[in-house]
Amino acid sequence: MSGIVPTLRPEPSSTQVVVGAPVTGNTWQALAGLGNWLRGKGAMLVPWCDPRVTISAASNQTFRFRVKTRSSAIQRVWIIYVRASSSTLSTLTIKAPGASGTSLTAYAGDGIDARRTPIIYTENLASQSATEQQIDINVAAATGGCIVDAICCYEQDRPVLQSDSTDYGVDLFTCASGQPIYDGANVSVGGVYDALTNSDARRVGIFHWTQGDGASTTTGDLLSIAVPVLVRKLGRSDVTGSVKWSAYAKVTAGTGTITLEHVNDSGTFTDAATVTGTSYAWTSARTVSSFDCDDLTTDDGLPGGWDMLNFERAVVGGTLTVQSISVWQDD
Amino acid sequence: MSTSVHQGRLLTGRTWDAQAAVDASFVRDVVQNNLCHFADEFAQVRVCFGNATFAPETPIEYDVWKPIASFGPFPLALRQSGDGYNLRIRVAGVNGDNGTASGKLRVVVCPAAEADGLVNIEEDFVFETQTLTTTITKTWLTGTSQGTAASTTLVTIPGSLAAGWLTTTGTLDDIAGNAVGVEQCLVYANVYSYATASDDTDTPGISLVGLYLAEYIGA
Repeated sequence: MSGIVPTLRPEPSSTQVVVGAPVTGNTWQALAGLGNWLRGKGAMLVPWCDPRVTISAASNQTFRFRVKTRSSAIQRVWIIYVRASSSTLSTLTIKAPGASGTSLTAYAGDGIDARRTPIIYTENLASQSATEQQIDINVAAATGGCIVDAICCYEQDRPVLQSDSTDYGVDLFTCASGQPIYDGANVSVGGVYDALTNSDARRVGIFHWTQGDGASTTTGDLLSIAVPVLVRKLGRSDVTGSVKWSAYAKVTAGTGTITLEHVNDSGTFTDAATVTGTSYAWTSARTVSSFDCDDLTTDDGLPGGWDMLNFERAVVGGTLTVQSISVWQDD
Repeated sequence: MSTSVHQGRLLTGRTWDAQAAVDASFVRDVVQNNLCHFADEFAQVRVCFGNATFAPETPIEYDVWKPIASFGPFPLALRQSGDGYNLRIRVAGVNGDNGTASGKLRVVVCPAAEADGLVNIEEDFVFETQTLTTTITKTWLTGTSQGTAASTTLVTIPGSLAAGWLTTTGTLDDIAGNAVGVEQCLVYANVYSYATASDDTDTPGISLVGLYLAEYIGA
């Protein structure tokens, strides 16, 4: 037995469920398919970001991101746009995870063609995990320097889920009209309820910024232009939602401060992380709960103006260097 | 539109009772509502950046859509109708020509191989920004989808197109499992720049400096 994941998301209508009347097999099948779709459809871990990092010939850089992954994923798809930093063809070696992944050889030319030609790397996971963790990819320029323009990472969609207590795939046939209704594992109505209670429908990756192994020591605003943020709506009356964020940074001495700055219709919100370590490490994940969430009554989901996000960097007594900042949804 | 009854997760305090008959109100308010709401809001952020500058290559050509960059592919979520989830869009640009030339940007959400052929058409998966003239600071631009919806914040992909863009991608059925295929609608955000007035400076025209693209089920 296994749970088929439909390509098109089922949309069982509430009008198909009438109080006082039995719920039909067709409705249960649609609900089971929706449960499978929710677990099988991959999430975007790293929305497209723009490192614009130059890698010299015969050197490499690791691009780090922090997210809470989803337990249903078995593969991650990394996609990068790389162009040669000169007219010399760049020969690349790519691997994810950066320290232990299987190497993929790729080539990058220069110019606009390289900006429109993705390099796709599929990372097979050793185990399924829903933990907050670093995910990373390493790009090495064997010959010819290169520029990494853009990176993204998403969980590969699954066409089928296993019928076990990790995947919670529901056997759709067991919900068909005429089949017995019972509370079994991964079957019938009990399987649908288990799929609901174990669903993980997070909008995982919100924003990521990375400079690879490069050392960004500038203070002041991180981004040249603040970026929009809107998080998912959870409860019926929710108007805001929370995100977590963390920075991969160090200081040479003293204390560095990285401040998340969030501007919305209600004003400006800040949340600061302190950096005191002299070796690179992720700061403890911090939670910010002031972001607007989708307003499902409006055409575009915007409850008003756009919420905008930027980061401010400051340091006292040394030099602060930041390699990555990640913002993700945790629950 | 939102497909859940209550447009939000409903916590009733009621739990599954394996020994009792299935209660239709429980199915509607908890199982159907919550599954549909979770799926409505399982709308992913696909693109979000605002740091690097993506400029058209020189020499600048005028009165043509010139490709700047592509961001993709990513597997668009598809609704039961076959339509893609809407994509909320925002585009930031800069006029690198110190105001002596004017221009605009277009984002075409489609497979990369089809983008050059679709950039000129007037459909709602094509989003065009305002025309920049003297702006020289990086800024988020206003814009409009080019179809009948003329949305200022959304691009939409109808099922008739999404069906043609479906492709099968190789994957596994489990950890270290067997090879299988998964059907996906893989699209890119293809960005183009358009310069509308010539000058002699031969400097980059309208550049992309930020892009935001996130799925949304719709009102």
